[in-house]
Amino acid sequence: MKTFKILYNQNKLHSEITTEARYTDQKDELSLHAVFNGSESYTIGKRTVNVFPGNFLMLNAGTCYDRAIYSDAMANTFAIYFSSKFLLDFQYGYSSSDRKLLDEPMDKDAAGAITFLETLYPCKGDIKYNLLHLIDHFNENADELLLDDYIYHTLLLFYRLYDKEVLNKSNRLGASNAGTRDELFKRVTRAKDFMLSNYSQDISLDDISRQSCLSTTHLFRTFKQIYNCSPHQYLIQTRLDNARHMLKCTNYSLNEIVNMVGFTCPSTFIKLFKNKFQLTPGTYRNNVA
Amino acid sequence: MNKNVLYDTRLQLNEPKLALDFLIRNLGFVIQDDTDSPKVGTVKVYDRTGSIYEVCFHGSKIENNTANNKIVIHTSDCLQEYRQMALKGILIITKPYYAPEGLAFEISDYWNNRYIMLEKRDYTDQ
Repeated sequence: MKTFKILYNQNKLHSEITTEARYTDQKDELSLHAVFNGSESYTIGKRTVNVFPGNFLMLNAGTCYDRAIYSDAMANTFAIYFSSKFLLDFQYGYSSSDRKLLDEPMDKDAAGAITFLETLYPCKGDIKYNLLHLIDHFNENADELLLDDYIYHTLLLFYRLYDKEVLNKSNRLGASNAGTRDELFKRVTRAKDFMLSNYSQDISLDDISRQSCLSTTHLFRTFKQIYNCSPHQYLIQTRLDNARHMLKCTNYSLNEIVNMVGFTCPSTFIKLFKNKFQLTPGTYRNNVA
Repeated sequence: MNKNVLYDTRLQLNEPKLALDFLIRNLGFVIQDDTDSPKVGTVKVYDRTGSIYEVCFHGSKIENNTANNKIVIHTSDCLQEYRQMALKGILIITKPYYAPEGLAFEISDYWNNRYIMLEKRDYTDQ
């Protein structure tokens, strides 16, 4: 099932529930892509990013991409396309003082595209709550002004998340030159995206470093500077978070989940899960049931 | 309905009927049909989430309300509630803001009683 809506201000909402779909050569406005069940695959140039529940992907206006869903279970996907006028107005309101907004309600100098780092961002906390409300209201065909409130708040939370996940974290890199620092950060986020996209596969540090175009030692050092953990620890954490989501939201057996999130040994998984969440997987599932 | 939750909600006003009318018409409260009749000057009501409040009427109009006197009312959808209240012409004190407990905004009634409309959100199990 596919639902698409263009709002009065040209913002667009798109929801799709399916097991199979493929769209090539897509090019849109700035867009946010989230998945609440199953997964969705994006090919951007030579790079492939898989979006699972727990993350969303931001794509800039004009980025050309292919989008595909091939899923055993029904994939539930949702996207917001922010119109350029809405985005420019928002940016002006977000970055200007109250005085300036009173004196110059319209941004006379507004021009050019607003761009963000095209990467996976965590879909949790307020942004997740707001997206779930937005989907409910969208499905109920609610008042457009209410949908717009939720789109506005989603963008507001994204700006805050961007400060935290990109601007603050890239400042942890010691590179003296801003251009070098930005490029280094971009490459490390590619390593992170590769792990988030392929956590279920058997991937090595060499695979990750190849994807990020950094040597293994350089990647290891800079990754730790940004995320306060090694790539391996990040991968384990991602697998455990996804296992927890599956324990909560699916009926798969423990052994199936162990395989699906990329662990090979159930006893190692149970030990790591208990270390992280202070509960065994079985107790966690019973508690949330 | 969560009958275990009982909030001792003290509304400072001298017009109980109008005050109750405000709670029922604007905030969606329902008077609890309870054989265990409340104390004189109080009434039990419950909100849309089923939380029960014992409302005590006393005093006169508050001149300058402070943060200590705010009454928290739970909602399941803060932004929708905000839009509906704005349409009803209720006096809105703040826009929706993100608090440690969830998304909230503040309103006031005719007697300067302040209400925090709170959509509680669980940030621990994400």
